[in-house]
Parts: sequence; C-alpha cells; structure tokens
Amino acid sequence: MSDESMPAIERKTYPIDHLANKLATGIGAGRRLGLMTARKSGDGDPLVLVALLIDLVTGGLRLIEAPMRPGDNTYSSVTARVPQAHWFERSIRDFFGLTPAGHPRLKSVLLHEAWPQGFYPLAATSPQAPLRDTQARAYDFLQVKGEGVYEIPVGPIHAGIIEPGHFRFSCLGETIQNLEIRLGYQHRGIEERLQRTPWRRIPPFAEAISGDTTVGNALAHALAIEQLTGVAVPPAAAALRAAALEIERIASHIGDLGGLAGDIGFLGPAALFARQRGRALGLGERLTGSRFQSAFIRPGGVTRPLSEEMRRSILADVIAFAADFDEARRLLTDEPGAVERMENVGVVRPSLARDFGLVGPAGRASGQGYDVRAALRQPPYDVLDWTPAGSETGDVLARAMIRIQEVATSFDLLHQLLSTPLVDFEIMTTLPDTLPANAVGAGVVEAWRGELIHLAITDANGGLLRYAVKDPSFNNWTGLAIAARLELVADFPLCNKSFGLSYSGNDL
Amino acid sequence: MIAVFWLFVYLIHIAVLPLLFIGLVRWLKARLQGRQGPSLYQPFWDFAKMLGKGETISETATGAFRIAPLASLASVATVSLMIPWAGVPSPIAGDLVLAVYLLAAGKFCTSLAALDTGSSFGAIGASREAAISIQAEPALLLGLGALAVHAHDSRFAAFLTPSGGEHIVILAVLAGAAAWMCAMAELSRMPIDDPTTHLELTMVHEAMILENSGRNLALIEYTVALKTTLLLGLVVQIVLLAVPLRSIAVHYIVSILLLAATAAGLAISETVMVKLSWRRVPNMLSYAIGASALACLLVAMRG
Repeated sequence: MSDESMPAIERKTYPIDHLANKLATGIGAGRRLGLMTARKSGDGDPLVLVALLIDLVTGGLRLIEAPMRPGDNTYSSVTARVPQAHWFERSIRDFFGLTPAGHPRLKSVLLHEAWPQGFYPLAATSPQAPLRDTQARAYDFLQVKGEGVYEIPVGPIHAGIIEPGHFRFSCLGETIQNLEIRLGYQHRGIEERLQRTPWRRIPPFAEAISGDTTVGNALAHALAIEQLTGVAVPPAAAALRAAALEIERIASHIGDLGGLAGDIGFLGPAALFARQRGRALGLGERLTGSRFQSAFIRPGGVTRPLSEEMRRSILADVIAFAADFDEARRLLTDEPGAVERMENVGVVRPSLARDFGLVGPAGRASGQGYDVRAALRQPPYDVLDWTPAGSETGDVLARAMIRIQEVATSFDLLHQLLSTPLVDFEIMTTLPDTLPANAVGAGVVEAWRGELIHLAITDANGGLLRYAVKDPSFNNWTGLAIAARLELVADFPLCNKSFGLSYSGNDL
Repeated sequence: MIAVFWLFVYLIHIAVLPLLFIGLVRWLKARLQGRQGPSLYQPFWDFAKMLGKGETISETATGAFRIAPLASLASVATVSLMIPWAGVPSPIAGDLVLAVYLLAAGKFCTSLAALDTGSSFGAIGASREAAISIQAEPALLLGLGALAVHAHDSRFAAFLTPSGGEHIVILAVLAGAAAWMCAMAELSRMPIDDPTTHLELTMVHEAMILENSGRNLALIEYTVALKTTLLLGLVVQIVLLAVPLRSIAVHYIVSILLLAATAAGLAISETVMVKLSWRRVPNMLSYAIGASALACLLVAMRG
C-alpha cells in the first residue's frame, strides 16, 4: 500500500535574488503558492526563505528554499509579481524580522502592537518575553481622505460571542470606501509552541489550532508527519478520515447558511439550519465519539474503529439527512426575497480572486476551480465519483450556493464511503520512533474553508526545525476586504458571513 | 366617579399591556421557529432586573444622555393618553398633529442621546432613524389626516369613533395599511430592521441604545414597548372603523383580540420575511405614502 502514501516533495534551493523570478514562473506555469515562510538553519547560518508550490495539474508539491545573504535582513519583495504573497511577506517580517524591500503596503499582520520593537518570536534562538515598557509598534491604518468621509471602528470585541478582530471602515454616507481588517488578537504562539513540543505530543495541539476545523487540522498534521516518516495509511483509515472531514464540512456549511439566513433577518430558516448543524455534529459524535471529532485522526491512521452496526446506522441517517437538508435549503433558495438580498452583494471578480489566491468555497464562487481533494488526487477521493462545485459570479449568493452544493456533495461522498462494509480492517500504522533528519513533510487538506497546509521541516538531528501552518482564512481575509469595497455598511455582516473566516486559524 | 374609574382602567392598560405584548410576540416567534423560547412574562422580569442594575455611562456623555430616556417616555406616554389604542376611551382628547409631532419629539431626544455618547454606532443609528422617519412621517400624517377630514374632526376620540359613512371600508383599509407600514418603520421592525440582531452595522433603533444600561435601558425598553402597542393599537382602531360595533364591551374585547392578532402578525413577519436592503426601504415607505395619498384622494373626491 506504499503507493497510497503522499508523493515526496521536490526540494530545491535557489539564491535569494532568484526567488521572485522562480515563484512568478512557477505560478505562470500553473502552480499555486501554497505558503511562504522562513526557517532557521544550522548554527549561525542566515535564515532561509521557504515557499511551497502546488502543481494544480499533477498534484505535485515543490519546496523552494532561498537562504538570506549573511548579515542582510532585507530581500527584494515578491509581492509585486506574486500578489498573493502580500500577507506572507508581512507575516515573515513579523515573525522573523526579514524586510521585503519594495512591498507595496508593509505593516504588521499578526503581532500585537504592545509587543516591543525588534521582537521576532521565530527568529531568536530563545524568544524573549514581551516587555510592555519598550517602545510599542505602531499600526498604520490606511486613511481615506475627502469631504464627508468618516471612519467606523468595529471590534476587536464584538456584540456576539465571536472571535476578536478589528474592522476599520472608511465610509462616505452609507457606502464603504475602504475596509481595513486588523487581526492578531488571537495570537497564541502556536507555531513556536509546536516546534518545541516532542513531535508525538503535537496532535492535541495541532487539532486545537482552530476549534471549528478540528478534523482539517488533525488531518493536515497527520499527512505532514506521514510524509516525513514515509508511512502509508491503511485504506480503511483513509476512508474514515474522509468521512470525518466531510461531516465537519457539512456541519460548518449548514451553520454558516443559518448565519446567512439570520443576517438577512430570515429567522425561520436560520432556526432550522441551526438545528440541522446540531444533527451533523451528532453524526460526527457517532463516528468518532466527539461532536467536534477530536482525538480521532492521528498520524498513522485513526484511533477508533467503526462497527458494522454503527456504519449502517450512520449511513441510514446520512440518507435521511440529505433529503431533509435539501428541503431546508429550498426555503432559502426558493424565496425570491432572500435570493435578491444576496445577489450582486459583495462581489469578488475572478481576476482578483486569482491574483490573491482565494481558496475554498470563496475561491470556487469566483471562478477558481481549485479543490485540494481533486487537485492533489488524495485517496480516497481519487476513486470516488464527484466533481468540485464552481461558479463565476463571486457574490454572496454564489458563495451560499457553493456551500449548498458542497453539502450535497459531501452527503453523496459519505454515502459512497459508508456504503460498503469495513470488516476486519487495519486503522493504524505504527510510526517510527524518530523523525528522519533534514526532511520535509507537507499536509495539504481541503478543510471546509479551503486549502489548509501544515509544513514540517526537520533539522540534522531529526528535531522539528520549523512547523508552519497556513489556514485558508489567511488567503481569504483579503477577499473579504475586496468584497466589502463600495458595498453598503449595512451589508457588511452579510459579506462577512458568506466568507465565514477563522480568526484563531489565521492568528495562530 | 365614572371618569376616575376609566382613567384607572386606562392606566392599568398602559402599565401592563406593553410588556405583555412584547412577551407575546417573542413567545409566538419562538414557537413559529420551533424553539421553546422565554416565558410570556420575561419582559417584566427583565424590566425589574434592569431597574436594579448600575449604569455604565460614556465619559463624553452630558446630561442630555441621562434625561433623554425620560423625555422620550414622557412624550410617548402623553400620546398614549390621547389615542384610544386599547379600545378604552382615552382620558385626553388629543389632536392628531400634536400626537404625531410629540412622537417625533421623543425620537429627537433618543437621537440626541445617541449622538451624545460619541459612539459611531449611535451616530449611524441616529442618522438612519432620521432618514426613515422623514419618509414615514408624511405617510402617517396623511393617512390619519384623511380620517380626520372624513370625520370633520382632528381629535382621535372623534375620528376613531365608528360613524360609518360612504367608502369607510376602503378608507379604513388604506389608512390602516399605511399606518401598519409606518409603524414597522417607526418601531424598527421587519422588514425595515431585525430587532433581534446583534450586528451593530445593520441596526437602526438598537444601534442608538447600545450605550444605555441599567435604569436608563429599562426606561427605553418600556418606552419602545408602549410605542409598539400604541401604534399597533392605532392600526386596530382604524381597521375597526370599517366594522362598527354597537356595545363598548364588545368593542373592547375585539380590540384586545385584534391587538393580540397584530402580535401574531409581527411574529409571522419576523419569521418568514427577509429584511430589506437599506436601499429598498424608501420603496416600502413609498407604498405607505401611496396608500395615504389614495385615502386623501378618496375623501377629497367625495367632497
């Protein structure tokens, strides 16, 4: 079954001056920039810039590494040629102190302004504790000038029980001229924490990165470790993982559809979707023993077998649930008032979605066909019968319809996954005791928000040199800022809900 | 003695009905949406709870912020003594123009208080409330005006007394429809605004009172409840013009039942309707103005 393990990563090193060129050519040739970050290297050597390219045709992964010049903390920015690198480069500066010369809008993306100048948590050999009495970092909001322009600051603490984030609207009357999104309030130092945690103990931390994407994060971590160690997962475990992932997608999409209905004041369907989300979480509980499906997916396989009796019972409920969901979603899609309310609101044009590399349902609503499950031909999706959803219009309605289609597809995938008995099967492969030295492993997963990446790089002793996480929200927050431009202030919550982004996954 | 008795009955209605009405709307809404929902009497417990709580007041707020809820309550309470909204004769024979502009004065106080706190949400809410009011006000005034001209008397007690007359059914339907739409706009209810939302950016009325807490908030919540029953009671009385009831007891019972029916109407509209986009609000209010204008035309044509 070694043919079912992920293909190895192609690893290449280039001089730092060639980085922008290599990335731009790679993307021009049909690859996408999965993530870009930096890492430490051997004692005293300069930091190394790291970029992961994903081939959308073959599904192959390529890691490009470019060591910094000794004694020089600046490099020439790639954002001008590869727009989707804009937040990656800002994040690299925050965490490693490397400055991209020529970045069009360089400012902090994640670190809190109360943290001292010159504090770069991932660059130092041992991070110093933040001191509040040093000179604080300033945050430079984009100012919109002109007669009658005013600003509305919203958050970081919001009226609902939701995560913290600050939105700065510059408005003219009831129209948003510019929205600046400021995040980082949920920063918990996860990457640094994971790097100094013994790798066997990482899974509980990894799956807690974003509470609503437990399965996605656990799976991305497991795939990264399996690629590092060259371990193949039993087919039954791969099927159970996919089932968990699809249940998470169903629960989250239905929850957000309920939120969309609530935001347009359509409270009947909102209450119905809220109940159905609970039912989807119930499916997860029966499959994994926990409603958010934690402690189920682990490197090497899954922790809990599925009894034949339980398989039949889940399958029966999946079939009934799919019909009930179709009835519920008709309340939304067959109501002209609701459809009209979402149409032509919060449009992201396909060209912008491509330039900024939007992922997941938001990307697919704006003409980006990329779906990790299909592009990387991951088992068991390569043998199942399904097609990714797609649309071109890029408005709130398109994002809602994509989610509806994806819920239906996920029910269908669950049906296919659970329709054959899984008797006497292996669910866990034993892992080696140590990680290989100087190796790299990447876990790329189509979580419910889109492409989620965990990247693990080991040092000469087999210790974790770098553990990088890229949540789909990291790509899509820019999409929300684009969608809000020139919309009504009162329509922003609707746009926001249609993206349904994670703060904790983004802030790490 | 009889006058004192009726005044007493009237005051009991003012004290009890508003919060009970809000409780009924919420209870019905919960049932319609498949939820158990809070008790019918929850608004009373909330009111008592808020009265006993301390207040947090913005540093930039002046005396206007403290006085506004009281001024607003005074204006609405005065109007509630003028309109026989519960089917019981009102103690004051108020004039319709006075009533409409007393309500506007109350709204002015609330808007002033919202601006006073310096919160951007308060300012947004105040600006939206004003924008909606200037569209709803002419519709309400024209609709009631048509009834007043029809009765040759601008006092509520007079023109809301069923007296029959030519085309009274059409007149009552047109004026009633206009009054209902204006009430939804004035009360920030669906489809203009969703009163249950927590999204500050979409709020109208709720955005203005985000800074209020404790006793101040209790007063505002009661004022809103009183205004809700008052305006919907007015709609009921307009509709009842079309079906004159002989006995005052029957009229009273039917009025209360119809008031409960408007609660059901609110609950249904807030379950099955979609909130209008901000750009569409003038469209809906143009229907209200249209209905009022037709009512005026009808009265004018008849001479």
